Amino acid sequence: MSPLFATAALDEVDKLMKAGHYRQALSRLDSMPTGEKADPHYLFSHARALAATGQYMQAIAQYEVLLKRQPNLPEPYNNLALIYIQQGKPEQARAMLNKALLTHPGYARVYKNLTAINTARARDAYAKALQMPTANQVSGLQIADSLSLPVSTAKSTAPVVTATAESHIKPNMVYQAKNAPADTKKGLIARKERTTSKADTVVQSLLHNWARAWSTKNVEQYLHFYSDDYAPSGISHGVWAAQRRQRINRPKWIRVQLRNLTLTELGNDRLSVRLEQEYAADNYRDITRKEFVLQRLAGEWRIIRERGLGHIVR
Amino acid sequence: MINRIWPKGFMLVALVSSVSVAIYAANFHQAETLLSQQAGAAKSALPEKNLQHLLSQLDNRLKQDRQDHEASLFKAMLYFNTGALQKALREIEQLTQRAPDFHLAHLVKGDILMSRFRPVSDVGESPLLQNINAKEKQKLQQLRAEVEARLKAMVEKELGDKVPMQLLGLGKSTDIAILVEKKYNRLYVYGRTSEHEPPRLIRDYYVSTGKKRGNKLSRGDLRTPEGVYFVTAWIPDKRLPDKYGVGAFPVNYPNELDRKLGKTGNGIWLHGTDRGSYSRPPLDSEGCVVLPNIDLSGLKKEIIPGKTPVVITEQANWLDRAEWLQQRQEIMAELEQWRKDWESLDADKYLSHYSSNFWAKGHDLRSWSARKRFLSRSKTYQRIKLSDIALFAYPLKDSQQATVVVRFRQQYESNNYHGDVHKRLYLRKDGLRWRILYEGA
Repeated sequence: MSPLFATAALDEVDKLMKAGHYRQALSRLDSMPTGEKADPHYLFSHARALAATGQYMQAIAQYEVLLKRQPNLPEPYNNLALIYIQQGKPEQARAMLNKALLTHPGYARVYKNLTAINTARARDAYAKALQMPTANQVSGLQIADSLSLPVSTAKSTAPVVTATAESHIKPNMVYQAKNAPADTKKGLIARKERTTSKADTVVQSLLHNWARAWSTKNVEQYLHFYSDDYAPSGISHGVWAAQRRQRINRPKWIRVQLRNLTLTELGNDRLSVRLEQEYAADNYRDITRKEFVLQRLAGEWRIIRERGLGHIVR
Repeated sequence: MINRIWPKGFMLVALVSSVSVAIYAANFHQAETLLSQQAGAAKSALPEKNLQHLLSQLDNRLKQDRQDHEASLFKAMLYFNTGALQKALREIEQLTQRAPDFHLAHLVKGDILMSRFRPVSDVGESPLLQNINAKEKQKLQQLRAEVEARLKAMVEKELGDKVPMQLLGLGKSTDIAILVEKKYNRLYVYGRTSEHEPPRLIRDYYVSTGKKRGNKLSRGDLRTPEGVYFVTAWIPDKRLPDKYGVGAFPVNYPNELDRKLGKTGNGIWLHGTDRGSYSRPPLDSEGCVVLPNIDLSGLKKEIIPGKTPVVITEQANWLDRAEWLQQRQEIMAELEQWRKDWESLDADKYLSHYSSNFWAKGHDLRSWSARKRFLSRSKTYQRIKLSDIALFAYPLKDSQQATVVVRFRQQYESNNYHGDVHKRLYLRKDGLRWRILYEGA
């Protein structure tokens, strides 16, 4: 079967599911040739159909297969969260949504779902506090019904970054391992290639997404990149967050671009990133050098330090 | 702007940084001013030192007693206040698992969850609670009053080395004494140390008191009496309606002085809480002092009916060690002088210790004097020994004379009589002299 043919079959499955005919969609999926069943779009549709027919264990397994191949897609995480909610596991659901945010912080649906889950939990807590009857239901959850992965690359297993994140990564980044001899440039490049799919890619796209959250004045997203107790120069996290909110909201528009990212491993799940930041807003612009230190906390990279290293005059 | 502050939530900031400021969310505007003042300044509203100090205090409380649910609640609120939302959530979730009937903890949990996407300016001030009915509204108000009372006690009561004037000596046969401060909805348990040293604070608890503030005067006035009382009995759970929880310790209200003043009513107890709830609102009883079941159960083995004193005050008088020693010395000296003068067989000297308002069972000062003069004529010698002396002071209030209750064992021996009794004296300070107001066995 040609990829084109597979696409047509999956479109059909999609239509069936939109109409609510999940059992038919399942059998249509089953009838596809084995060779097509490794396709991310297939896996995604299959997992959705399984979940919709109450086969949660199988659905979870399918999403996990998909995530093993495409770890940076937000949609499987989002939909896994919905399954965990169905199973009455809000903690796991929240963990999934947080992972989705790390792959793609601008994913509005995930915010909506996080809000829905937290609201339901809050409602439950309030009901217990005031001795009210509990509804114990999460309302307003949104399932992701398509992958943010171009169909044409669906069969390829090489690129791991999402399309949106990748478009921000400039080619002039150098990976620098701390213990590697500085003069063996070849070694560095080899190392870079080996580790591209790991921490550095995640961290690079994360910082670009950080810049984008800032540029779009999305403060909730922006703050999410920092550790919960991030507190620079003696002020508390709460005060800092309030200040950031105020300052980010002040200009009419902001544009932040990052260049020349250099990553250094610090050990203990820590990374340092040096970069050039071009900041432009309606009332101010500058180019500065900056250093970030990120730490992996419970599987998520968060900024634990950020400092300016001086202006660059152009 | 209030809605710009995230995730400030509870405004403990203002209150912790300038410990004088009152409560929580009532100070939202103040806290907000604080925040705006330091926009750009590198000083925090909540100095790290204060935060660490408070956290380590709370950790110590939890180390002492894993069931100190209040300490756990405060920890979550402190984390919340400083924006450490995940820590706050973890703490409050553990708490609600340990104490599923602690309604206040659930309320704070709701607030912490909601604060992710909107500022929370007061406890339970949430869009999810906009359309609650009157009964639920009342419950919300009660929980707010409870958190306020609990916080007030924590923030305003930094006792340090201060000791209460109310407990001037426990006596050898009494290991603990209970002190209640109605103003702070707090019950303190003090332990005996050496004979001439102030007692040591063992623990303090949140308690609920009478629905109406003020000192009890009459039956049904819904007030908690103020004075020096003693536990008289233990009534177990199975002999009581549900609302008393694990059981009750009645106290001797109205005591001798209350009855003299014409106070009425009875049934003032220390008791537990209906099992559906961990705690009750601060002003909720008909005059009783109500503890969470878990706390009353913890205290039960320490309380001895007939012995354990319960001193109830609006506010205790807090002294440093030197002042405490001086107070104690003054009363001990008076007691010793009374004993000596009695032993001396000089009836005039002995009777000079009694107040003109004196009474005892079946006596006023006149009949008492006549009887004592008559008795002393038949004596060739008297030996009196006092031991197990305990001293408890009434709270000092303006325009009121200082009053203390003295309890001791009295071994009496004379040429024609022997006696061994436990006595209770009420002493009142009359100008510069202490005089006996009441004497009873």
